[in-house]
Amino acid sequence: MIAQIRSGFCYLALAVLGAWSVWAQFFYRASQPYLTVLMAVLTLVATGVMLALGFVRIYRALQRKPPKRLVRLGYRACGFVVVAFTLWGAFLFANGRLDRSDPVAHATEIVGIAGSETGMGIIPFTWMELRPWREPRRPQRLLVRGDERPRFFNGQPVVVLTRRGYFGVAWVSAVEPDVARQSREILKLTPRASQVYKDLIRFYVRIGRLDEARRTAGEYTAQFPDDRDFPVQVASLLNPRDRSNH
Amino acid sequence: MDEPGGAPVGKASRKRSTKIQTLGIASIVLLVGLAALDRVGRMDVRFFADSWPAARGFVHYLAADFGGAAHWYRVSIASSVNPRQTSSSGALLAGNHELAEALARRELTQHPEALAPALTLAEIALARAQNSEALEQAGRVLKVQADDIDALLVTALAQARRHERAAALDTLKRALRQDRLERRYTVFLAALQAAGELAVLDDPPLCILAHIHRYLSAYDPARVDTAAQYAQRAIEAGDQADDALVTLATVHAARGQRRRALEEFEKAIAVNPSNTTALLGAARLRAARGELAAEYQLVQAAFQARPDDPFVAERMHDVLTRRLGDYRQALAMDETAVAARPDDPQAWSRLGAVQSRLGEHEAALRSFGRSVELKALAEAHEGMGDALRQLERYDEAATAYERAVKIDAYRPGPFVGLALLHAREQRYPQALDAYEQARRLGADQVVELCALYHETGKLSRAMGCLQDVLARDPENPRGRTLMEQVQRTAASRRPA
Repeated sequence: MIAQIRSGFCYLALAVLGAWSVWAQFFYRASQPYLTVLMAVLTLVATGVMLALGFVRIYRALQRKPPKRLVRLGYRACGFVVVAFTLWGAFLFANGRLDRSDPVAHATEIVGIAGSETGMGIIPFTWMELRPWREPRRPQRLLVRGDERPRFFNGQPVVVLTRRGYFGVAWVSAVEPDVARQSREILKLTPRASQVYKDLIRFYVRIGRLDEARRTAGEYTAQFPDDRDFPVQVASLLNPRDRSNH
Repeated sequence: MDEPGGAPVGKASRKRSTKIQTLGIASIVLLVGLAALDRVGRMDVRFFADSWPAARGFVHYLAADFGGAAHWYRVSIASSVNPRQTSSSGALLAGNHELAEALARRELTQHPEALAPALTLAEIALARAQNSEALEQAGRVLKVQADDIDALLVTALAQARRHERAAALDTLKRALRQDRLERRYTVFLAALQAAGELAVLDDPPLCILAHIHRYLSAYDPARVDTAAQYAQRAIEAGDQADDALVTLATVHAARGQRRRALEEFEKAIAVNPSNTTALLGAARLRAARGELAAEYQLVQAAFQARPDDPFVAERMHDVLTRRLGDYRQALAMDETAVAARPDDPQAWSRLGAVQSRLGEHEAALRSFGRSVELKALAEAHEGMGDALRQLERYDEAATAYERAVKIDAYRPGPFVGLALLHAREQRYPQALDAYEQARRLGADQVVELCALYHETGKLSRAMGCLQDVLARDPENPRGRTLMEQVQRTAASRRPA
């Protein structure tokens, strides 16, 4: 019985590894038409089944019954899938964690989000389809975490920040609402919106578009010549970045 | 039929089938039990008083007999308080209307400006179905405090009883748009009773009922379903369809279905383009999605529809100053708001804040002064302090800040102002005290406090303070420069 319980806990340990792999795939995600989403779904399913099998095994051990053949078979299949995807998760983790490249911003748009609003509220893990920003021009799908989901909606202009990746596998470090597009839109309506200019400049600095940040700061100074503090703040934001780029 | 070994197969199969059935029934019972527990667990404690009448009230409530529920909850509360009450509101709780009325009239004779006795009289009149009297007494409260929720609810219920449905709905909307609830339990019971009374009328006011159930959902979230049902019926019957759509939208938003909520708000705007609740609701959802331009246009449309509505004016001011930073437009808008409501102290205070931001300190001082004349608002006194400090009238500024602290001791702004004045006079210990108080009260960034620690030689404190500032705002330029200075000073003090 002890051996069976121990074996049940091995199932649970594998399920924990599977869960870690899901986490890694969501945090150090690569964008692909289908593959990455499919792999995450497979990992999630295999992890869930593994967890259930672990409990079944422990339950049967406590009842002093031998494990069923189907359970053993399922265990082997899921074990194989979970181990394979744990390696994939570890690869993505290292690829992102060790990466020191600068993010590159791509302006795009959300075409659709899978499993939109349900009667039960928002699904914590899902994926979204983005308008392609690179060749070949095929729609890109990206995993979306629960904390990001409320900020996104269909048709939203967004900026995707991609990094080269330590092993050369490009990954997405962040997806942000496209503040530039929204700010230009609002500045057409209210050209004297000083806070919008400030937010736009900070956004450009954050995504590494320093030339645009400088140009917008020039527009701000022309519009608000009496504000002497903000240009100093912008300079203190831009100068360290300029130094690190040279 | 038996197996060759003699094992009864049919019996074993029946046994297994019975086991599965038992497991199925047990699972269903467990799920129903959990759902019931979840529903009850979300309800406010007011539904579960420790008495027999309260238990009867709860049963009536669960059976959707709201009038009966209100009656038994009244009996429960009356039995739990001392019947010999000395205040009118206490006597009302004890269910002694005659005593409550006598006490309220005496209180009003002694303090004619008191609001609580007027509200008690309004509640008594409502309970006696003297709706005109209820409106008059609640009106006295609303004249002084236009957004008093208790008075608004009593007014709405009296108007609904008098079949003044449009007015009742408007009043209910004014009550529901605030982010607080009523203070008096008796008013809640009056609303509960009204939910029962109005529902059994031949021609029930569907939209009003939807709004009353929306209000009740603050205490019992399951009431949003009832609110949605009434709203749907109101839409079908053409009873204030725009407001019913707004109720549906708020129900969807409460369930986390923001896309559907936005769709309902947009339908409401299509029905009535000047429905400010729908416009502001849609603006809030657009803002949550980061759609600033849409938010601005919606709030602007609301302000154009109702420039005299202080709630809309405040929202417009907030969008223009905090979100857009368009102070010129904010100035024009606040001047319009002040012209529309010259006796609104908040409107004058907002105008002063914009003038101050634009460097028009004399004008700001006048606006804050007018606000203070109308009502002693802490923010207006603080604004006066800021304007006076800019005009280098430091003693008057200190007095204004102290008045602001006296009115609201939990406001960080006046402490920052006082700290700046102390620091200017080189009274560093007092300045540090005031800054620390402001920080404790949640002042956003007190970089000046860190600078003062540095200037007074408290390097470890300066370091901790700056780490805190930079953790919240890593790009803070003043904080970063100061951190470099503090590190240099610390390095120079270390023994070689």
